[in-house]
Amino acid sequence: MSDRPHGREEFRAAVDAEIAPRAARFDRDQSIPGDVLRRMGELGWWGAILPPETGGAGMDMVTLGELHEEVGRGCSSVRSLLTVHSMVSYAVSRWGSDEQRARWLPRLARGETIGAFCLTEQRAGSDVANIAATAVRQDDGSYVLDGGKRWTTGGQIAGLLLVFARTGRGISAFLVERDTPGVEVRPVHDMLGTRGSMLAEIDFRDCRLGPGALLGPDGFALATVVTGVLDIGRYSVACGCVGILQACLEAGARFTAEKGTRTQPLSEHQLIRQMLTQTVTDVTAARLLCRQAGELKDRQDPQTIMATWIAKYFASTAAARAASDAVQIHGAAGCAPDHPAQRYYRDAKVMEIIEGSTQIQQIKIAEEAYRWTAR
Amino acid sequence: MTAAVGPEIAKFLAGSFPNLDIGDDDDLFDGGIANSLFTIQLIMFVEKRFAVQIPNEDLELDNFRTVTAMTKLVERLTQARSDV
Repeated sequence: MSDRPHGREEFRAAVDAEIAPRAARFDRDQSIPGDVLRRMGELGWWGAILPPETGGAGMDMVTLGELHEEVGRGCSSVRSLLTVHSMVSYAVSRWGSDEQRARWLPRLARGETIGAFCLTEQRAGSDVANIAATAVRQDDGSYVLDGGKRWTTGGQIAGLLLVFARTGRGISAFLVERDTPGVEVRPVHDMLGTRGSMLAEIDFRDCRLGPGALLGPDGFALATVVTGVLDIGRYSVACGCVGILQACLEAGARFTAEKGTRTQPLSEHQLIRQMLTQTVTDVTAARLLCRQAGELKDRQDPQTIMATWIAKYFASTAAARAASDAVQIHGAAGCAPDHPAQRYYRDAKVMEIIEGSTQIQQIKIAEEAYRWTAR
Repeated sequence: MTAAVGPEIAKFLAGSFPNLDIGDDDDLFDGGIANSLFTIQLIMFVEKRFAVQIPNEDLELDNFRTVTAMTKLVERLTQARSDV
């Protein structure tokens, strides 16, 4: 345990040593190699959110946010894998039965089993209530699962799938082992961004699940497991976006301080300074919003749910802006193969879509405003 | 403390919806007051304020439909705890 980093400075050093220098490679290869995944286990990152008695690092949510920010600064694809794994770990820890917890948490904590989150379908994205996958309960208490899930981050390597399906009582959550007969995983390549996050399409055909596969309340998963797990995912993405902002800031400042004509370095141009000022302000504000959301989570304050929506909305839109500026600042160099700026740009755009798109957030956050406004 | 369960929940609802008058038997779901986002806030509030963890079998819509239903749930859970 003692060699596990547990504070921002240590996370930063580990990311700079082991993740950031290889991120361009992960992006090009569209995969994170096994040695990195194993190393993340040694560092305690897979089990960051889980309590020590299960083998986890027992981090509070503020510290978890700092970890996901630092990892996101180095590589959004690695952070995406951590995000979905943390979502599954949280779900088992929060809603799992004693048997489910005993069986899965130690493996999830070590990263021996990677978790993936299977919610989205062809015709059910932000409108999760449209889920068409079904899990039909049999007389012996087992379920038969049918349906297809899309855009599953980490789906290529996950051993444990958290799948949402319709039962007779509503929408429910299930823990599905990847090697269950009837599970078919197809890799998805050449996405715009987070290309290393090993996306998959997963089909479930006539999959027989034991009675112990049901996670949480039957038929009431939307307001509990889905909302709770997406809250964790949204928090992780928001923090990861702070990392992208920080990376854009550092790259832009370093480049413009060095580059320019003999008479005038780029850093002397006012319009360059304007872009950097915006990024500095955005990263500071986004980090504070994430910290606030994390502190509210640590206090189990219900306000954390909306605070996280706001943090994710601000951080993802700011990251997309800053990454666009970072490419602009670097000019042709920023568009070159393997240049970090173009990767930040592609990755940041994805952040505006996942875990609640910018538009969904604009609707939800405004809804909150109307709730508060006098009749 | 048990006696205060209902009023505490009502206070939370009043604070969350300052422009609505929600009666103890008003249906939060049929009335369109609670969406899934608010429902989890409600669950978090109940668990934190009354120091209970609501078991999976009690996580169902009917237990959160009205202030009266939530009060019954909390009283049952705190009662079960003091029996242990």
